[in-house]
Amino acid sequence: MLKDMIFFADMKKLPYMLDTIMQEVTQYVSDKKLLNRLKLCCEEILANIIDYAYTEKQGNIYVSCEYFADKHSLQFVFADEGTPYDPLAQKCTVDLEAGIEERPIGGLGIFLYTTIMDKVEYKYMSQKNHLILEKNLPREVLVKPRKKIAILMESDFYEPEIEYYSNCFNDAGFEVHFLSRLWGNDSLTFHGHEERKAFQCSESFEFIEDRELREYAAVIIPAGYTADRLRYTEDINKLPPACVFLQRCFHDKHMLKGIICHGAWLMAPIHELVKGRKMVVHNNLLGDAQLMGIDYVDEDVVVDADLVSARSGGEHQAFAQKIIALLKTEQ
Amino acid sequence: MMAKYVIEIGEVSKVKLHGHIDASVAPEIMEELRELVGKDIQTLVLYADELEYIASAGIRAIVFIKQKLGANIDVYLCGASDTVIDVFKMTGIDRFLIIQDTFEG
Repeated sequence: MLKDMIFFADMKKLPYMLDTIMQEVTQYVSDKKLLNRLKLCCEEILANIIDYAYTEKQGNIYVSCEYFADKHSLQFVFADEGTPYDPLAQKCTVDLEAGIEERPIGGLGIFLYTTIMDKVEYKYMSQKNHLILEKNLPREVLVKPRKKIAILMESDFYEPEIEYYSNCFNDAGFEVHFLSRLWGNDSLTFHGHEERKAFQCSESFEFIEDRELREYAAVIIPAGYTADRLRYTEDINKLPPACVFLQRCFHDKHMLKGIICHGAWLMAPIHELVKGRKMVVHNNLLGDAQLMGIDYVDEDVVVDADLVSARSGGEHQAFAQKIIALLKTEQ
Repeated sequence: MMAKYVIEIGEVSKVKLHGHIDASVAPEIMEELRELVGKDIQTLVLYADELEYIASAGIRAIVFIKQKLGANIDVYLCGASDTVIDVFKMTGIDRFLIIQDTFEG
């Protein structure tokens, strides 16, 4: 997935830039040493742009970070609108054997990123300096593919849908986790809407740490009354915990968000997250969708980047299969 | 001004490196290290147990001070993590330092 970032070239913003870029890199790389080396490369390049590209005027730094699964390589592109300058034109070897007295103070940064990266290229195009860097990633440094699927649960769920999810994601090689608010209990038993079928839920979305959240490939707000029950809050000044959890999920662009039927109810307190997004909702929720600013699309299943939606509970098979297909292409 | 990094100036001078030493903070360290230039220093101890990250700007500051203090003084790097030591090794600066867990003396 391509992620473009734009930063104002200011040395005070350097730690923020690095954090933002590294958040993207940690989607692919888990090896600590390599992460540190890649951060080092990014920092050297950013610091150079800040120091030298914009001496006359202020400007931006454009960064993209993309993983090519076919080549097992991670590509960084750094661009700026400063004076045309090829940092690779100068000799950037550092004599590691030289005594400390002979070690030049400059040139270390370029030396580091040309040494660490497998490919470094400079191009001047569209009035911008482009530095394109590639790092091959052996399997052992890669983040393990996300294997978990979160399905929010509460009473009055739609039985055929939940039964289908329990099986179809497992069959596709994923691990299904039904998450709810457990109110301090080890588990709660919920009942279905049509046949009052019992379902024991023993996992909560309230205490999932960021590290664990990154193991989730998708989160689904199912049909039925689950969404309405989960949007209960005992403190009217606080968001329902399910919405807090969803905010974190929406923040993670690498996690698919699935909303089906009346699931969109749960987005009302955090509707800024779906504002302007292409979605379909249950016909009963057309007015709600309008109020939330959803860009309604009249189709059974709708995909908008990391957001998949389906019209009604009856569409659960097509909805789940669409999510599986999207996850398979991502991997 | 309270020093953020230099904790002792003397025959054995001590510097505590901590946090993220990137290009945005390296000038501060450089400024403090300049205070050591011209002093009668035999040993320089760099404590790095709380150093999370160092970039070439930080390495440059260390090369600078080592050059200014002269070849005969011993510079110790103590308690550095593997990722920090990795940066010193990649830049070949590890050869000019005595890298160990703690400093006793």
